[in-house]
Amino acid sequence: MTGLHDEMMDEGISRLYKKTRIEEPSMGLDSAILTQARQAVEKKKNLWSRARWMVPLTSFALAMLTATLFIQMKQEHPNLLAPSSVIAPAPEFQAEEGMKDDIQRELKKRAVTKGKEKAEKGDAAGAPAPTMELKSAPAEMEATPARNLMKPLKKTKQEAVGASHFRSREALSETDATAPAQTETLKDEAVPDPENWIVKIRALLKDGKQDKALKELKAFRASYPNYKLPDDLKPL
Amino acid sequence: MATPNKPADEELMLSYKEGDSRAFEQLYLRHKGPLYRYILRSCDSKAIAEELFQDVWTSLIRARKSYQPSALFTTWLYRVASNRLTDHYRKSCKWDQYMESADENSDNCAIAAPYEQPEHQSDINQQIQRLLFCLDQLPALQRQVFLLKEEAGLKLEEIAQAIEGNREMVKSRMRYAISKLRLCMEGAS
Repeated sequence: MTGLHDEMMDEGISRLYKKTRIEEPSMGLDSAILTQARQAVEKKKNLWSRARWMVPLTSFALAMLTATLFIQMKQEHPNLLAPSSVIAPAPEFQAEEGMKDDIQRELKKRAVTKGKEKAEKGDAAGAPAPTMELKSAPAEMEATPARNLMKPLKKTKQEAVGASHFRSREALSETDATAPAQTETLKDEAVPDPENWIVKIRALLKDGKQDKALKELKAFRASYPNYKLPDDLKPL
Repeated sequence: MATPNKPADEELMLSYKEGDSRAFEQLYLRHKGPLYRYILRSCDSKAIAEELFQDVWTSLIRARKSYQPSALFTTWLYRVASNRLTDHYRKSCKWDQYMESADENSDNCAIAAPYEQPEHQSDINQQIQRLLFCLDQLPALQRQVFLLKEEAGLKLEEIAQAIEGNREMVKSRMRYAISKLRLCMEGAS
């Protein structure tokens, strides 16, 4: 009887409690929470929709940039992108190296010749020993670096003073305004060594090529006017 | 909660997770009243109740990405709310007071309390007022269990999940709560 009464009482409490359920959150609170929920989702949606066109656009821009850079590089340095350029040195560098060798060889020859001439002449003792220095290259060489540097030295108007100092390509491009007195202008054609030249003339005479030998001797005298000819060639 | 016409709470939450804000709206309308009253009757003031109520929904919104329908949505919702209430009591330095009132054996029921008893007990409104007064006099943990049953409609096992306790403990608290409420109501009459 008591148990039944208790159950009825429990149900009564529960039923009565249901009647108390009238409080609700305020309208302002409802709207604040719903707005917050909506914004949280929309933010995500906006981010996604932006990312949807951002990815292809970025890829396209990147591709365009790469292509433009490639084309520009190809135009500016056509040999740079060639596969051989990876192993072989740049043509400009090769030309510079080749020119350096040519100049050094020529300068050595000139130094030997000069030394001999001076020895023969018994030149003034106070004269300073010539220091060999490559002074400058003409302006046209600066304008077209690679091709001009490949030309043989005899074609360029370079001045040499000594063999020990070789100046770089930048030095070559310097102006020639302050060339020292010791510098000697190179001839248009390469001049052979006087001793070798004489040997050559003798050989021509031996072969019976008198005219050719005379021509060579003439050229020799023009090139080395102070050189003392050997006795066997003097009558010619 | 799910009926042929109405989607289950878990489905709505999953839809919201996918970005459907209308699913959240439905979910909110379903649970706002019970949750609000649960919080309101568990704490001191309406202002604090509103603040905590908003906090619970904010936590839900933030946690949507990691939501997995492994348990009932209602259980999850009320677990969040219970944790918020506990945090509130801890922060406001009322934890001792809360725990004192939570003492299951304390006999601070309304019978001895100075209560402005309604003059006409037959009046239903007065009975409601009396019940609310008696509820307020219950120890906090007993009140919590009672409210979870009456407001959220949870079963004993679900209440145990929501408050991270066990079924027997919940059953015991419930029995005490009903018994004290009954005594309080009878005493008034």
